[in-house]
Amino acid sequence: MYSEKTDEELVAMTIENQDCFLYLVNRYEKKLNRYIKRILNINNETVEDVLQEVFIKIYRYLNSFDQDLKFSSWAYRIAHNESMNQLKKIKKAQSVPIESDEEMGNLIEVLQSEVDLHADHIRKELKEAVHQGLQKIPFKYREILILHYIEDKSYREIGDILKKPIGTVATLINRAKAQLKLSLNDTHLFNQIK
Amino acid sequence: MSTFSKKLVNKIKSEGIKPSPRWLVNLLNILLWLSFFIVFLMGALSISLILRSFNIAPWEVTRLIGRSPVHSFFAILPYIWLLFLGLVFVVVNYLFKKTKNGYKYSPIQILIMGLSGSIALGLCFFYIKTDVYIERLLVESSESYERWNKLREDQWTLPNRGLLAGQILEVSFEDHSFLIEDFKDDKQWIIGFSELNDKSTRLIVEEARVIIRGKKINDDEFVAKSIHPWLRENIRPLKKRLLKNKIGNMKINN
Repeated sequence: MYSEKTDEELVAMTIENQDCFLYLVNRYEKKLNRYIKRILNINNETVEDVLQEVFIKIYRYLNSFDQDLKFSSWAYRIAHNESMNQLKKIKKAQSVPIESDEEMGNLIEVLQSEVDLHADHIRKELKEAVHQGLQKIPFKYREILILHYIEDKSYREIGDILKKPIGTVATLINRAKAQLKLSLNDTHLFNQIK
Repeated sequence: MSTFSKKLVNKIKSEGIKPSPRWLVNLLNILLWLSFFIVFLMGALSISLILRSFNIAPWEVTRLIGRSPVHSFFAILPYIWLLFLGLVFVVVNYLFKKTKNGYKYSPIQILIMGLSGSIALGLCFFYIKTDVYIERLLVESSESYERWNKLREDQWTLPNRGLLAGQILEVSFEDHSFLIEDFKDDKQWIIGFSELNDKSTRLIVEEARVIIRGKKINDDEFVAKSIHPWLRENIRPLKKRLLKNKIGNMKINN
């Protein structure tokens, strides 16, 4: 029954009945867990702590939820803010693998279209390079690439999550792509292509 | 239910966490918009005071207070209000960004919207003379503001450059001269006005405060070429006709 409800309906129900919050948690637990892990690059235990804080804030501020927004954008916004707080605490991210190869697909496609790679072994090597490249670029660029190419969010949704105008989102994505390519330029793979 | 969900639910229940009440959310929202409008209003008031500074400036003689037209223009700029306006826009931008949809606008868009709104409202304030009231209030209540105003007014007393500002003490139409006390040093000057046209002559009234353009003859004598109303006496174009009639009706000792 609850699985057919929209997020917004579940929010309204949770305000009346605390138990309904579990359905929202179940819907977003994995997504937000992956997102936090990807952008912060921290161990699972810390991710869980951050995620718990995210859901507590979601619950506490349910009455502030803006019905004009998608619930997912609002939830990601809270996760983004909490991740920023966490980032300030830890200052330096630890080295933990952030993605599986499948999830890196969209980002690889973007790079592939520009460097025209076909061979499988090169594609595999590129995936690894992208893993490394993402770690080297600044947090704001890493996050926006992850939101757009991995979390599959539209410009408008990213704008709602990061609280930025759409034009700024587009500019940031372009800059982030340029930064990522720049960080990949030093790799063995790109030197070979050149 | 996953382990994470169990831990989360336990924490929420054990710590008695509840959603913030709707009224609190609404109250915070109202306070945010209220702060925004108060700051925006202050911006509009500073615009009206900037307009006032330009309105009361005697443009016919303004060029004399600087070494060049550009320098003269900058000399009459009301820096304190421009600075205040800048500060207002920083706060307006900050508060607007905190509103529900504020983040959708770039700082430039907010600046353009804020500036257009402030200018429109500032013009209304200027039209209904709110600036006069604010200026008087500030001069009467703040010594620092009065000192800053005095500094700005002192720049109109430059006898060596042919500019003198002061209050008329005595008038002798027989000798074509009058006595004034300048605002800067309270020094008395004898002003000859045989070269004046009717428009300037009408302003020669005892106790009137004026700006005189002319030439310094010696340490206490000056020849007037034109006379202009003192800054604070200068009023809106709309009201100039009324002033003209009022002065025209005054009995001049000739």
